[in-house]
Amino acid sequence: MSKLHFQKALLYFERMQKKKDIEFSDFHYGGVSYELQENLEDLEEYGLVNRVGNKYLLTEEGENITRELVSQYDKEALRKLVFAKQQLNDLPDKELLYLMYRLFPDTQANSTEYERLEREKRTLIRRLFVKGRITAYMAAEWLAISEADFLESLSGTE
Amino acid sequence: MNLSQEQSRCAYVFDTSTLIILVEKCGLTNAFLRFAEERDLYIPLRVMDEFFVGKNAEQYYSVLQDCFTPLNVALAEELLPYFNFDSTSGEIWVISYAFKNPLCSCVIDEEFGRRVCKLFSINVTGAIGIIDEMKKSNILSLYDLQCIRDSIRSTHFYLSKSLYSELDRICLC
Repeated sequence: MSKLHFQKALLYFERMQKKKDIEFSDFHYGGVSYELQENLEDLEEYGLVNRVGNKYLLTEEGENITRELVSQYDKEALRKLVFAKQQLNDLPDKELLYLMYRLFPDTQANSTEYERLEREKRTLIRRLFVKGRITAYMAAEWLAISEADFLESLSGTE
Repeated sequence: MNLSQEQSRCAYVFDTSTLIILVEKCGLTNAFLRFAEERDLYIPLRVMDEFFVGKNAEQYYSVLQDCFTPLNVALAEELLPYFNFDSTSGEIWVISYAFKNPLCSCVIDEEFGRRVCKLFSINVTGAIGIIDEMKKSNILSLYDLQCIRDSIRSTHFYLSKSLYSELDRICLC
């Protein structure tokens, strides 16, 4: 996963857990952690992850350690972590950022991107709904229209 | 009805958009009366509220009363983090019921709700799955199925491309 996806998935997970174990800053994109970035660099240094292009992949040793950690990890927390990753991992950057800004509005505060993305909200919200990342109720609320109008507006789209 | 019959009855709990498609858009009111004879069909009160917000929904009040049991569902708190701690959407109430009653299947078409069901290993089907079940139970004729297909295809209501393919498979074979 990319650095951006890694950061956002862990922010999502923390919000689901209602915990603040990691310090996130509101600078630039909003919801970015320098602590996490350092951790990622440490993992790379220890040979547990490899950087390929802009993506981080587990090495063989990293996979072995992950399996061991997964077997010991709290099952409910693990389910939330899996969900957070599934929600974000395959989203293009714009959809990822917009989803996070709307789910966690406090991260919009100092964002340099939010206003620009807000201008594309109709397309972004439709795509997020079609990909199953938000409910129709949420999509309609974000667009300030009724749920029925939102669903009817999608007819013919894939 | 004896205990073993009761235990073997299928149970479904419906979300709003599936009700709109099946009852309002496809007009399956008579089919539902027969479908409900051998199955338990439930609607959470929150979904009932959402359904009756619709412009044309009032006319279906009596059929919903005849076929479905309204449910005052207790929210499964475990689901809240997946819905961003918001219990307004009908789906969280549908899934909450099936979460506590594992023999019951959710009837949800929206991909988000279906993903949450899969994550919790909760049985899930959709409007097309119910049509398929009605077909297998000989509640719907080939002519009915073709009309249903035409109704769904002509309606301005969102279904994914894969669900349209599934609809064609069921209605044209």
